[in-house]
Amino acid sequence: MKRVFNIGLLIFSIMFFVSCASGVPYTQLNPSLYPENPNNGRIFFYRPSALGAAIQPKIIMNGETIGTAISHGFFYLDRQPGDYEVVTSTEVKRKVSFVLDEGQTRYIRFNIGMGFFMGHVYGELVDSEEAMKEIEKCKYIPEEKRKS
Amino acid sequence: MKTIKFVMVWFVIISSALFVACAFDLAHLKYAPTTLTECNEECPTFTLKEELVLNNLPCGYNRKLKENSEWKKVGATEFGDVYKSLNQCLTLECSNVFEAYLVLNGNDITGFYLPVEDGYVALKNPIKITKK
Repeated sequence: MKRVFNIGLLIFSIMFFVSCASGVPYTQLNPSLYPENPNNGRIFFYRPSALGAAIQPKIIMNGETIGTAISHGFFYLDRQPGDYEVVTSTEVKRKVSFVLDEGQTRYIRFNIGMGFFMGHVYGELVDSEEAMKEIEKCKYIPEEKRKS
Repeated sequence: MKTIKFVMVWFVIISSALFVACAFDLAHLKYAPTTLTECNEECPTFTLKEELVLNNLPCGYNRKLKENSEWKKVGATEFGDVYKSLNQCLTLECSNVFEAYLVLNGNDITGFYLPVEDGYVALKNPIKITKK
């Protein structure tokens, strides 16, 4: 019985750590908070919690797949000013809509909520102060990893 | 024993069929379509004097408007003047999350404007704000 428990614990631990981001820490990468082109805006995407780490939905912004919501991970994109909708799909589609202005930086945090068969990962618009405290503990997800 | 097994098997089959057939129920935010007329001339701003908690918003969520938060008029709809925050995020939330601007009539918040959806969500009761 103890052996079964230990094996279960080992499998759970491996799944947990494999499911979390493993890139360069935010504090080491220290990315600019502002878009490279001042006519654009910058959007940070991050998922600070390890809860439901094995559930990693694709992130679709205005119809384009831009990455995956990986626990303890973050990435950012520069985009033209305009209206944006970010969708994550698990057993249902969840959406966050917002406006991006010229030179503005927005922060989208992915949380996990209760679902029927599995948790729902959904995006939320967050103030910069709150976001910075959380992103500092996250690791960068490079493009090849977040789109794989 | 055979009967119990038979009942259990059928219970699992019926339960599975029932759950698979049910769609997960999303809570939808109801809003009225509206059009924003942008303010081209001088667009006034104000600063909120004290923190304001907005209770009983759609789907039961609450939101806080921060003390000293700054709001700038971006235009008007038929429901009132529309103010966007310059230093805090404001969203309405059901199953989905929507960025929202305040709709004011004088010093009363009467509802919210959803800039991406071009929609208006009315408050049941207006909420008075105190400007600095």
